[in-house]
Amino acid sequence: MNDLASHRELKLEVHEHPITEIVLGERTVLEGTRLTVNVTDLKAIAAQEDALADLDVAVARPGESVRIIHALDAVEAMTKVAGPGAVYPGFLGPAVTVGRGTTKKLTGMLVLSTTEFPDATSGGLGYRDGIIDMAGPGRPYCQASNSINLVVSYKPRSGVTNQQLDDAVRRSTLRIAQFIGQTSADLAPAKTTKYELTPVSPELPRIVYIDQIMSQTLMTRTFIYGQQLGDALPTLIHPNELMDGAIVSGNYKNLQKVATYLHCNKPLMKELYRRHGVDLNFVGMVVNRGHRDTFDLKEHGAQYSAKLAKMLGAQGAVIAFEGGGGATVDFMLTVKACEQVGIRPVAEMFEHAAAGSGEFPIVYHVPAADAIVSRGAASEMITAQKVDRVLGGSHRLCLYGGATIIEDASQSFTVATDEYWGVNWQLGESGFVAREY
Amino acid sequence: MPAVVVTCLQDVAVQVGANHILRPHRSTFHSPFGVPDLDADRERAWRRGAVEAALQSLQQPVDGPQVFEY
Amino acid sequence: MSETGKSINVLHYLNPFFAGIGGEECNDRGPQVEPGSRGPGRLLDQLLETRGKVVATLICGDNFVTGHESEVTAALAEAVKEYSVDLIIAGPAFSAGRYGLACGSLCQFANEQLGLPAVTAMSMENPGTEFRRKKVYILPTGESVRSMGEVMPRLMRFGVKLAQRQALGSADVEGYLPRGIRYNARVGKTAAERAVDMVLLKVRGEPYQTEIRLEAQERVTPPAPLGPLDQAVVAIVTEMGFLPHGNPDRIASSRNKVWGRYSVAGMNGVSSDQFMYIHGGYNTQDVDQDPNRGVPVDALRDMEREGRIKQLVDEVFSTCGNGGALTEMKRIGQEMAREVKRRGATAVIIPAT
Repeated sequence: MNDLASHRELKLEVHEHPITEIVLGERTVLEGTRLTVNVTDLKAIAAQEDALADLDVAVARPGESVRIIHALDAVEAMTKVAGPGAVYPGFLGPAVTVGRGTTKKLTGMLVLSTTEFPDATSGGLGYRDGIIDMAGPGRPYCQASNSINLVVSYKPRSGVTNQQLDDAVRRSTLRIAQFIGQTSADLAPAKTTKYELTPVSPELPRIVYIDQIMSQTLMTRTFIYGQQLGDALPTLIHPNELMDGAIVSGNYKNLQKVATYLHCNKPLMKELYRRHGVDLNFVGMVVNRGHRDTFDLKEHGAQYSAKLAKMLGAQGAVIAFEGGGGATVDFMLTVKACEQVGIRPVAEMFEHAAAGSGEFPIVYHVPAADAIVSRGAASEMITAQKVDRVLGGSHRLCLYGGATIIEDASQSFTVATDEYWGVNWQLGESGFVAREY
Repeated sequence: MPAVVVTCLQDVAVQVGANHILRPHRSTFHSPFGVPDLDADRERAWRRGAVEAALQSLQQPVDGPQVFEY
Repeated sequence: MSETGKSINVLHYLNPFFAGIGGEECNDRGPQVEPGSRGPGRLLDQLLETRGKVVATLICGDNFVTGHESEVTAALAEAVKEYSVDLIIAGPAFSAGRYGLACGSLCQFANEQLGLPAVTAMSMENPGTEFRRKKVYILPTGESVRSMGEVMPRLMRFGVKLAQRQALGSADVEGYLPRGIRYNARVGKTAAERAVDMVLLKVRGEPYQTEIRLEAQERVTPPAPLGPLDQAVVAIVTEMGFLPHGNPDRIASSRNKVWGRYSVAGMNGVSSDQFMYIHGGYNTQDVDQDPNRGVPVDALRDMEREGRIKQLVDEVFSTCGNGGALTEMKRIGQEMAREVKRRGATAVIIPAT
């Protein structure tokens, strides 16, 4: 335990600058809670990337009649003003350990990137579009619907590959997010919070958060300090590192994805931090990659994650995952592995079966999974309403992995809630649960 | 009719009630009857062995889901 | 149908023992309908007060129901007509297994064929509880008949709710056995908050309530073992999304609802010139390169040529199982199974991811 003590010493002060309005104008500047953005500044940032020909900028506010499609990622506008490293380390600076010093964040807003890939990606682990509705019945089902979104729609240069475009969009968006974050550099924050896993009473239960992340091929990647997770062994990470953007999403598997802003604000991490020293001892985090290729490799990842959790001294674990069917196996094996080493696990997950279908809710389970928190059932049919504006590029929307084409996404259409952007995670944030009848 | 599921995710097959399940050790989840790392001839020979194992498993009586390994 | 305010006509189902006719020796008796209430039906009647009345009692031996179900359901249907029945209450059966099965079966019939609300009650271990999978409302009881005084009021109240078409809450709120049908609700706490609450309860050794109950899934009866391999007619059935270039049947990569059958007649193996895989749940690179890595046609053709197996069925039956709704996949599986049988297959290999 002593070797890990320094891991627990990361101290981060987060300054919050709430944003209540974004307008486009002559200069990029933050005045109070009003952000003005000069589109030319953003174009200059994008021009650093060969793969990007141009961009458009629009603003979408919660409650507005706006639908955003072709979204890739939603990113917090933030900047580091003291301490080592930069936000989004590995992308915007060298992979220096972050989570220390002072970071300023513009809260209540996100930078949202959209583009359309030149090569249609079908089946496999392809890009799968999703819907972000800023108002209407779909709103509780999608990520990024509760923030003012600075929607940056990129136009690719002709002849680029999907990978070139993906990498360029990501780098450009992270740079823009930092640039916007820098508008707060000389301003006093509305709120300051110190994040530190201070020593607490030994009586308090020691809880670890095991976070299983999706990272497979192009279109379903996640990065840690700028490197794809790939086949890496599970690893330890401090929640402060996540807050500074150590984990960045390149996952476009719509319903399962975790947008980068959500990695920075993982709900279980925030809840454990909130209660650290109050009724629990948040001992830290383990990050594992799910969807490992063989059953043996899944077991390997699960056992290794449980071992790291045990090394942190955990008595209980909360475990969540990003991914679909096969990743449920990695996930459940991790639940089992925790139980095997004496860590009591709680599994937080969405339900694979459609609401009302009478089907068994999850595709795989182990006897040790006797404490499950449900984020709710999938596939409720709702009516997406007609909207005034569609942002993101063309109005043509491919749903259900391409099986249904909506030619004009501004019109009303019936759709399964699965088609909302990042629904599996958002269900949990929106307070959904499923009950049995 | 005797049917054998050939998969690396044998636990899922067990849970849905498949009675004969063949779990090939060398292949991956993405290609149950393939081992791309082997050269073509050896891979083919391996595949023949896997198919033999699959069919032979069906000749075994079972009481419920049973995992056979190859 | 009864609405709030109108008196509810209840038909009560009992076996001869509970009706006061006799014991085990009466369990082969066929159905008989008596006007008014019998046995514990009298208590039910009293409890109903002005809400309703037990207008008739259907009595049938537990053994008789097995094997003569249609006679019993016919008697039920007739009685429903004759007495203008609005609601069926069956049992309670407590731990009597055949009685519980009979109660469950009649309630299912009432729901599905007569469109009538019905409710029964039995102990958790009673095999009749399986009828909750068929959407029958079953209230849990203890094992002992002595708890009748506690059970009957619950049965009455629940039955009245059903008959009055009141909106019902979830199973744990209303006190019936959960039937496996899940609907979403929104609550004041996020999933993360509830998860942290739950882990603290668990670590402190306090009781906690899972939000998803786990149960064993259905079992498929194992078939007789396959005979000698050289007599085997082998078919390949797959959910890996194996299909010819051009995807003529438009198999979707996710939440798919169709299947196809693709000829491999005259082929010694399947080639990437002609075939590929479409599936959103795994990386198809390796199997696209050599399709035999998914559907092992080359190995099976070798075996066919050598006489090691009798025959490989000339068509591969294929669908994409990624994110597939269970009901669609079940239907596809049944349709494929019929075809496979029709082709004379005696063994099936199912490559799956």
